Amino acid sequence: MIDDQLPEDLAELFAAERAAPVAAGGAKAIVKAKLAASVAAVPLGAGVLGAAGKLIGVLALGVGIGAGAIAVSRGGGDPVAVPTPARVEMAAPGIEMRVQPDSPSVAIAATPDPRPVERPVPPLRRPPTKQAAAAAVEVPVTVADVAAAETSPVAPPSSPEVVTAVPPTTASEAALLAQAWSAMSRRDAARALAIVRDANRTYPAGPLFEEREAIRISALSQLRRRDETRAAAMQFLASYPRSIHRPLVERALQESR
Amino acid sequence: MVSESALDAFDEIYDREFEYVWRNLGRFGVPEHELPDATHEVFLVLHRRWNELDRSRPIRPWLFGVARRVAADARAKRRELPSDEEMVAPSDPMVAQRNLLWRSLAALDDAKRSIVILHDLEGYTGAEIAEQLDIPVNTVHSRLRLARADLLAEVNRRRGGR
Repeated sequence: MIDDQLPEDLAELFAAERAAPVAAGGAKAIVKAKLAASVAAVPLGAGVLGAAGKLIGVLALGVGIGAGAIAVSRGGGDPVAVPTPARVEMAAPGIEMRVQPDSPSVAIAATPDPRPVERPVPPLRRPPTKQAAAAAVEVPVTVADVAAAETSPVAPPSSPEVVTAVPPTTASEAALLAQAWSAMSRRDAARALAIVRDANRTYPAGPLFEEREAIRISALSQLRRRDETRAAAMQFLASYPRSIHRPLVERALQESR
Repeated sequence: MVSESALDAFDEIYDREFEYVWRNLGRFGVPEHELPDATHEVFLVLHRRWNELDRSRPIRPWLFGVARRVAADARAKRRELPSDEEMVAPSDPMVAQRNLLWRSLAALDDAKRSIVILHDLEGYTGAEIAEQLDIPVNTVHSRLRLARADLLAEVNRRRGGR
């Protein structure tokens, strides 16, 4: 029996690993909020052939890197090889992924699709967590708010020394991000802008600022405010050259020209 | 058109498998400060590939494969493991033990690491791993023995050369 040969030292380590807390509190909500922002205008499962899939960063999909692996660009960086989920199995010796021969092979060029995305479907509708939902507050939006949001973009925090007006709480910041996403999923870009502006005022250097900026740029693009989209997008790309939202921002930039 | 049930199913998988993905990324050597982005990336892939998912198959082997590749990519970008000095010493002894194990696992080669994770940490049997990896059961057992020996040596080295 293999188990009989497990050294005691390793057995203790394995037991400790299983008992140790996994993710820091709030991590699940933050990742879900980021996910919501990333797929704000992307229907579930639209990553391969749907135009919206390219919106979130599918710069290069192709079969043939390894057997059935797909290259997914992240933040303009190197491709990540991921398995094709259909009939994927792990194979020896390096647990390489393979796909049955009858799986469709699709290769999509990195060129952004110039067609507008139609009727985005919200893939994640709930706030990140129940805790976040409880902390969420309705953001009153007025015409003046919307105007202010559209004319007063908030610059990214310039340095770590920026002091937040209110100590950020992950749940409430994530809840605001989820609200902004929700507004975008309803194609209510004006409201999304107002929510982002409100969140930026409350959490000027919060951990989700980058995600809010991506939403703001997407919203400006939806509103056809091309000059502002262009300026914000260029600033974003300079500030976050390796952002996972880079493809989204680049698309907005392209559409603003 | 995306159905409500599909959206519910995605949310359910996220809620259920978040810790599984996070933990295995850590086991694959992703440093703690990179775990949120790496986890985000795994679920982004799930979202994107949702329509091609075979619902009749368990999701975990697929997530395991994606996590492994995301971790490998992160490692390639980093080119080297973060030094021990970069690690903040945790106050929780369980977390300290976990970190020791994760960093020791990161020193193994990928095939050995995966078998240790699947067998010793995820509880799959040798036969199940053999089926999952498409290798003979005897190969699973022999690799597991070698992997454990390498892992123990690495743990002892990190503990101070016992």
